[in-house]
Amino acid sequence: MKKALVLFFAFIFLSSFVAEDHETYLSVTEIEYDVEQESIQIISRVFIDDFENVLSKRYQKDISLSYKEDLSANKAIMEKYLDRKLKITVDGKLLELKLLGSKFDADQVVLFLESTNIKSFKKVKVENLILTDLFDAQKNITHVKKGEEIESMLLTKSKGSNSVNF
Amino acid sequence: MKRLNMLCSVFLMFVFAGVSAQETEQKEPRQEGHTNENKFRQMYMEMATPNQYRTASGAPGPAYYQNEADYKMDIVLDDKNSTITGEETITYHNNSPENLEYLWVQLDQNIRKKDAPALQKDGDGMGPVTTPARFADSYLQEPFDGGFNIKEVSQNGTDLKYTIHQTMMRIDMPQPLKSGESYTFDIKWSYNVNNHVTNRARSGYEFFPEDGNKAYVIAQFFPRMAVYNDVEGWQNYQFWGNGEFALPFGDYEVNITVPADHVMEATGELQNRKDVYTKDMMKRYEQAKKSFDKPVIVRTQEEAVEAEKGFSTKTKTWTYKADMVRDFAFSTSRKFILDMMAVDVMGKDVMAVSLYPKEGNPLWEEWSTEVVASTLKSYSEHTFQYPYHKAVSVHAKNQGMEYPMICWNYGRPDEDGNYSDRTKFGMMSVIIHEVGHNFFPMIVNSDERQWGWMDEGINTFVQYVAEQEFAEAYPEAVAPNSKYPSRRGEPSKIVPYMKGNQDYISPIMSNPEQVHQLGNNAYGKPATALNILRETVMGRELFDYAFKTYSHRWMFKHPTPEDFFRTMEDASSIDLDWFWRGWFYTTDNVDIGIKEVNKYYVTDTPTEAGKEMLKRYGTTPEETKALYVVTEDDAAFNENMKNKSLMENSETLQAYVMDNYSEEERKNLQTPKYFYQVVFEKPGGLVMPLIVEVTYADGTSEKKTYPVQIWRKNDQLVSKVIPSNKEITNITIDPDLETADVDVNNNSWPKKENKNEFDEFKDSSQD
Repeated sequence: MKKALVLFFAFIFLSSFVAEDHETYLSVTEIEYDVEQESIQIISRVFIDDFENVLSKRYQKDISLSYKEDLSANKAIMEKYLDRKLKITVDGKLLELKLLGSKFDADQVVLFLESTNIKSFKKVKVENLILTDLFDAQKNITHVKKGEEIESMLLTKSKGSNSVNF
Repeated sequence: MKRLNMLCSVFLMFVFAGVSAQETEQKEPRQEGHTNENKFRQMYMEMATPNQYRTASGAPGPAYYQNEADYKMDIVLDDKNSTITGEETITYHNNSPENLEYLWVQLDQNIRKKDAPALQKDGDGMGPVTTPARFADSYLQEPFDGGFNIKEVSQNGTDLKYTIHQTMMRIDMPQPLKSGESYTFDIKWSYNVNNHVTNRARSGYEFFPEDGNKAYVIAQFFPRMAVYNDVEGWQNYQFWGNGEFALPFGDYEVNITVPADHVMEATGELQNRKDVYTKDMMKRYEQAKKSFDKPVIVRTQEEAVEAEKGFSTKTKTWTYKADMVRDFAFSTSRKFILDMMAVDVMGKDVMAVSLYPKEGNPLWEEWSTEVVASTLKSYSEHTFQYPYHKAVSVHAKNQGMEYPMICWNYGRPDEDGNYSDRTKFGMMSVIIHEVGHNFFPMIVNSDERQWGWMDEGINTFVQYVAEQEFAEAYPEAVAPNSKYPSRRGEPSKIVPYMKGNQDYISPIMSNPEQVHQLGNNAYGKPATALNILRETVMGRELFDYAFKTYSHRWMFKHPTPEDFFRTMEDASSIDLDWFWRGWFYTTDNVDIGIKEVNKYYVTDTPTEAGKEMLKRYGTTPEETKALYVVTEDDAAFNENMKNKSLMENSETLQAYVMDNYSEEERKNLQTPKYFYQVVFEKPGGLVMPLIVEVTYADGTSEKKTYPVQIWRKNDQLVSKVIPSNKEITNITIDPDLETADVDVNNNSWPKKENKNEFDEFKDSSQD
């Protein structure tokens, strides 16, 4: 208990005092419906150190994402986390998202997720709470694209989900 | 060649003029007038009017002034309780033409007061469920007890009246401070130092539980004068955390008392090295001053590890002097290892210095000082000779932050001393960046509180150039990469941001507190814009001269954005108002594409469209000798044209050439067979030069650049004729991805399907 308290205290007022380099707490997620493949394809970008942090704290073990191999070695735990924090509901049906894998891009991890066998749909509900359990000020910019239409939402801890009608 | 080309172009133009004339014949509703919305209009509305302080050329004017603040300080660090106690005497010089009724002093530490509004600047929400720890932390725990405790503000022992509002303190002088006069007063204060790792901050200590020590990186630790100038009056916009600092230049004399077993670095020249260094350290320091090829370790890891156990109760006072600096910072710990080497910076000896705990090794002893040295050389080449005597890189766990002559940098190996490329390049990049900040904003002293991009963006641009130069100087450091893996600067890297949702993008010309993505807004986009300006718009020669002019003009002065924009134009003869307007004042992006390509042959046979146009000019094919053009789809086209040359296809042209050119001249005539009309479209809001690569059937290719002015009369569509002897098989816009075009799907003819990132990843992971 004491330890957990210290742990969380560590991250309390983070957003107010961002030093030079690690800009605001931000992730960008693109959700796109691919008509031909009948699948919803998701690319999500998060800062590597934030992602390391949240996985380590949540699952209480030392998770390091420094080398390429770390990404495949920690795939299961990443999928477990994303399963809790990223939820997409299509016409009332919660989708099963599969983490295909991830790669590094400078100081970010790019996550690739997919849900297959999806015929066309009208309404998408997205809940994106990635990293909001680590930072109160985390902002998750989420784009949903179907055909030529793109809808964007800014999801945060207090407003973690939003719906789009196509 | 010229004449012939013109002839053909004239006729092609007729064809198109004809089309648009037909379209406008329909009756249209009466049109409203409008103001000048041309993308190339000058920036009179946006920019401040030039004056005697700041001229239209972008230079400081004849009446330019800046106020100065000199400090004499005595600082005591209580390591056990993590508190700082200080006394300072500030002498403020009013060089402005006005009399000042009051002075404003910045109290940055007050952002950590328990009741600081800055702690409440972000919205939050009530989650339906939360952990007890998190709940306790948010609602039960007392916040950190930070902020300045101001004990005294006085002049010659008499208390002065002062008022504190958040992070600003107004001092009411008995009489106004007259223009040209100085005012000397004293402040005494103390504050609790925070842990900068857990309570993330620019200043504070890192605690090492293994040995019980702290490593301090201390800044914003004293009440500092605000800037008074001709653009803002007093710059007393509160410190909210993102917008950094606006500070006047001055001379500093600082005594810092710390435990006797500490090793320190700070802004300024150390005055009593013999009192604070051991004999061994002195000896090694003398060696370091002569070592230009590699760093000399002045305090070894063994000595540092030994000191970690000491916890001396004695103290030592380190004395520093610094002239013409805008701030003062220091770093101290008994854990520190210290190394140094000499650098020849354009004929001047400068010391490159690194300070780090053993936790930074082996990475830090290998690279930190070498990177500092390389950075000083690169930056000096692109701006001015580094004017200070040293540059120090201090290892702090997870932050990068800059001060005059000294900066904090991250990059820590794991416990076994292993480090990934990400850690290594992250460390090198942040050192280049923070050491580079000595030039912007420590010397070219822009107002960070108002314009984050003026130091961060300009610095990130020079950082990119310095990174590439570092890789050239130390190829082994970047192997197996052939060039430095810069995170920012390459045009393609800014595309995801610039094509993103407009709700979360702000123009570069925004206050740092009000933007959504500060990293992209103040660092990435301006750095990329300047890189594009240098490589694609202006060319290196003109850009580098103008950029150097800006650096020299505003060295040890306070520039504004206009001073930068104006100087870049004034020193280069390139009108860049369109560039500043688009890239800095709007959130538009680049998207240029090919709408259609038509291949024409020239013929004598009158076409329907040709006859129609002649009729409009009151003439007929019989009366006027003319050339006509056909595409392969036209009724007037026949297959034979393909096999014939230009002249064979047109007796009229042949006759004209024979009548008007001498035999000698005819030898030099070119006879292009194909005439490609390319229609370029511009869905993006930004205008950019049109860079076109043409590939021919024989496999050769050619790059053409049309000036940006091509968009000045039509911002959406423009067409160009490319006459050619050879058949064109492919046309590509921006083939080397140098303009940050956000959609390359329309960049090629014939259209190329670009695989999206998702499919690319899927394919690569299946291999």
